[in-house]
Amino acid sequence: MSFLLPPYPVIFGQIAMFLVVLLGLVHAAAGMVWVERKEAARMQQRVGPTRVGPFGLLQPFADVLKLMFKENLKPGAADTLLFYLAPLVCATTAFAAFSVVPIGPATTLLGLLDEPMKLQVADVNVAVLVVFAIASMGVYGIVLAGWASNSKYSLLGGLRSSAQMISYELSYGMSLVGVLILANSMSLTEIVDAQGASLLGIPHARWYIFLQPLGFLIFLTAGIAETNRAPFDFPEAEQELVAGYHTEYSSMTFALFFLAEYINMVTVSAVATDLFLGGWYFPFVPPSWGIGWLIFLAKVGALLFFYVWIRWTLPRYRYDQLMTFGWKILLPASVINLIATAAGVLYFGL
Amino acid sequence: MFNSLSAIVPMACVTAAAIAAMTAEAFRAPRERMPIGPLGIVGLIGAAISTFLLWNRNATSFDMVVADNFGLFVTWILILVGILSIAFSSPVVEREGLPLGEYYALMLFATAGMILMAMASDLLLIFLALEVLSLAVYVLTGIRRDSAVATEAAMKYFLLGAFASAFFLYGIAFTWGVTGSTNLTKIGAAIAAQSMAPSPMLLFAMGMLFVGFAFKVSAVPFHMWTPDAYEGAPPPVTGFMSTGVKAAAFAAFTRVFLAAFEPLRGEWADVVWAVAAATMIVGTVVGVSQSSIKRMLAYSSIAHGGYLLVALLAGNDLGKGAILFYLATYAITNLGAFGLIGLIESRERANDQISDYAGLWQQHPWLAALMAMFLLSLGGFPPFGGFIAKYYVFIAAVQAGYTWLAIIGVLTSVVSVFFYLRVIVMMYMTPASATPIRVPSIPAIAAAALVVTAVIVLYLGVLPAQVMDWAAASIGTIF
Amino acid sequence: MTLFYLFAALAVVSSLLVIAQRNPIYSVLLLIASFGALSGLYVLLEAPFAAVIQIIVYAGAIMVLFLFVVMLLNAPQEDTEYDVRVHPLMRPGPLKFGAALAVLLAVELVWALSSAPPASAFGPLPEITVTTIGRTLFTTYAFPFEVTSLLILVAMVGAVLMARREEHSGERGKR
Repeated sequence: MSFLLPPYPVIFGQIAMFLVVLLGLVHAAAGMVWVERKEAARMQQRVGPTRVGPFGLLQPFADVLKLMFKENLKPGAADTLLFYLAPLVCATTAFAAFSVVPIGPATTLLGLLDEPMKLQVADVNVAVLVVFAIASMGVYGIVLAGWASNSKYSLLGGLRSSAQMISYELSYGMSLVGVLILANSMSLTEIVDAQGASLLGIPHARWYIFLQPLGFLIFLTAGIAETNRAPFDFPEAEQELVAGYHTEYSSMTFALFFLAEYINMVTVSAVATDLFLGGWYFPFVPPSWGIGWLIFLAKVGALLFFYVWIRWTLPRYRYDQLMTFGWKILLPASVINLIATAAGVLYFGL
Repeated sequence: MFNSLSAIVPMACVTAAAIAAMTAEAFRAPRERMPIGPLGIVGLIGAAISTFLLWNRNATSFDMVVADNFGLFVTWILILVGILSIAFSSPVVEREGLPLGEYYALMLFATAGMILMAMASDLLLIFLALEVLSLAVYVLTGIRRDSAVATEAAMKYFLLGAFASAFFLYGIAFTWGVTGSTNLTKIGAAIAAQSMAPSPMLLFAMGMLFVGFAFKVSAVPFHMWTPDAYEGAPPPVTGFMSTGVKAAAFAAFTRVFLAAFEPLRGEWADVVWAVAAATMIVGTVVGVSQSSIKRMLAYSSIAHGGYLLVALLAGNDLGKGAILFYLATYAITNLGAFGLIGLIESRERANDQISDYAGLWQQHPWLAALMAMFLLSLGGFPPFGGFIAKYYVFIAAVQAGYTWLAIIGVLTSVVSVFFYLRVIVMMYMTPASATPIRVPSIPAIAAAALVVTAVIVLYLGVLPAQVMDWAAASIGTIF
Repeated sequence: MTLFYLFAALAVVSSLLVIAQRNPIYSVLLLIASFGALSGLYVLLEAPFAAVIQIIVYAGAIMVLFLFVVMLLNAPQEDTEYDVRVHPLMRPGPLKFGAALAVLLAVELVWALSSAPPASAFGPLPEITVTTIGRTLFTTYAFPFEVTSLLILVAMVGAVLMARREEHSGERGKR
């Protein structure tokens, strides 16, 4: 029976990691719903959910239960196959994009495993691009939902969202090329490790946010647009389009869209943490303490809170303003940032 | 550094002119007249000067562009085509209200692509150049957006052209797969090393490349787009694409098949033989039954492609020289003919039926005379350039042992005279219709272009020796 | 090898279905599936960069624009029954001819691929990384790279020219 005793083969750890990420994302989404509602309430001088569980903490689970038992409606003239495919595309891509995001340094889990394991589902040497590739597939879910519903609000929502996501994907991608140049790598793990530095044995922060402040701003802005969050939430602008692309969805198909939106937020925040905020490194906390993943989660949490904060603070843009902003300000700014970074590396050896 | 860039100077000059034309258009107020056409001509003259300076130098850039004399000769033809097309365009652009800046910019971009194609010694670059010129020409074909005929022509040309490009690219990929390179010299060496037993993959690659080229030179099974595209495009554009595209494509065709794939001659000779014969026959026979002068000239240009294929197939020194001489003669003559058609068209009437030319002699004796001259040259009458060009092609074919092909060529030439003469008979011997053609005053630049064209056609016919020498000197350097 | 045949079959079948569809939206989606399978083939060839770029550029960006246009045109059917009956290319003769040509091409392709390429053409392949691709692109292939920019410029001028609204109505107006 010795094979049941530690240290276990690393494959066990990887399977566990897979489950942790899957369930973690679902629960992160649920948590975000609660935070969002509580925070919205606080900003509007209300109380928010209080009835289900302590501080209303179980409210998201109650919501899910409610959605599950609702009837699943489909408009009569909708395209059945695509109508049900669309939410699946959305949710699948949202989960898949996170698979290459590392959430901590390699660890043996306190000696449980026979060799160190990377805290991510899959380590790819072009991880940054993989996140992009998968995220860029997510737009199909929204577009298809808009088209398959056979409703004008849905169609407009879908069209708007595809135009918006294409426009902002450029700045989104360009903004992080600066980081790629500085780190000279496309692997998220290597990029994070490039940000860990220590002076006289004391870790300090060599985060790319300090070298790439403009890049970080652009990344965050484009990230908000990519995830269709306020103030860029046109695909589902309630006042104009009822609920945009998911107007016609109900029950669990609707829940999948909802889930995808929150998971995408988590992914963007996690990628931003890895790229700009030094991942699991923090000043005065040596890696040997083994709390890297906690630091990482804290940073992601802070970014997620920022998301909520922005949503309840800023009003929605007008649609033409959004496009003008994306093409005429954000994209040139990201190109300038790229050129400046390249020049900096070439001439000053940053 | 600058020495290594010298081979791309002619192309860069034309590109710069194109970008300048685009920029000028951006700053042009609506309806403001701006000398964008002359600007393009300046760029082309710059390219001509640089081409002249590069003569006999064998400059190479990036290991991909070679300014050998062969490429430079074709570049001269292309520059002349560009200048004359711009000159013929000015009245048409004004009459049709075509977008000034974009029109000339696209024409110059296409010329730059053609020059690059004539000088490229790498399949990758040949493909890119082909796409640059094709895209520009597709758009120029459909530039009269309010005309259903033009839109249909552009659409057909674009769709079929995209297919041909795909074939060509497939051929490049397979060639690379067999030989491990896209460089023509290295491909030639790799093929020579295995020419005893060429692999099926290599033959497939060659076939695909052949299809791509055959489409661009509108050889017969791939000629379907030609009459429609030539009819729908504005006449100066038709003149431009029937000469420039053909010259550039033939230059690359010659480079690829007579240099890189020469060791495989045994494999491709029969195919080219059949295609050349079919091209000459179909172009001529179908041309006889046309009633529109543009379609007639389109079929005539298909047939001329056939004669060029004969010269390519002959492949001896005389044949290679004949390709260049024929290209020069055909380009100038055809440009003149389409330029004239462009002048005769009017906004109210297309005037593109052969019957419209009835009695042109009485209205506009000079135009009728020039038209007759161009048509006779295309038909191969002495003392015009077309006669000498055809003569050399057939001599080369007979020398290389393709007597039957030469006989087919002579016979189709004789038949083709029928439809050229039909127009001349119409102009000189038929009384004018009730509403004869009235050409408004011809702008000086177009008139000058007509005169230059006519002089060159006569010169090539009466004193061909000098140009023949140049052509002969051009081929000596590479093959 | 199993994976190769899986992806290859997926690519071929979805490409065939692209042209077999009457509904353009399904055609676009199947094309995306085909691109995805191609990307899988790239991964098997140890070219992860090409694979990811294939997804980002083709499946992610270009096809969204395709979908966009199809949705804006809102054409549920490519061609009407009228076209099927009347169009000369839809008659049985041309259809058979086209099919014969396609089969011929396929046979030729199989024949061409039946022979393995000479191994001597390629030395041992270097590891393909983003760095090596970038280096090759900006040294050996710098000029073709620049010509590509020219190509894109021409395409943009052409597209704008074809697509823009008639603003020069004063210039051409009178007809």
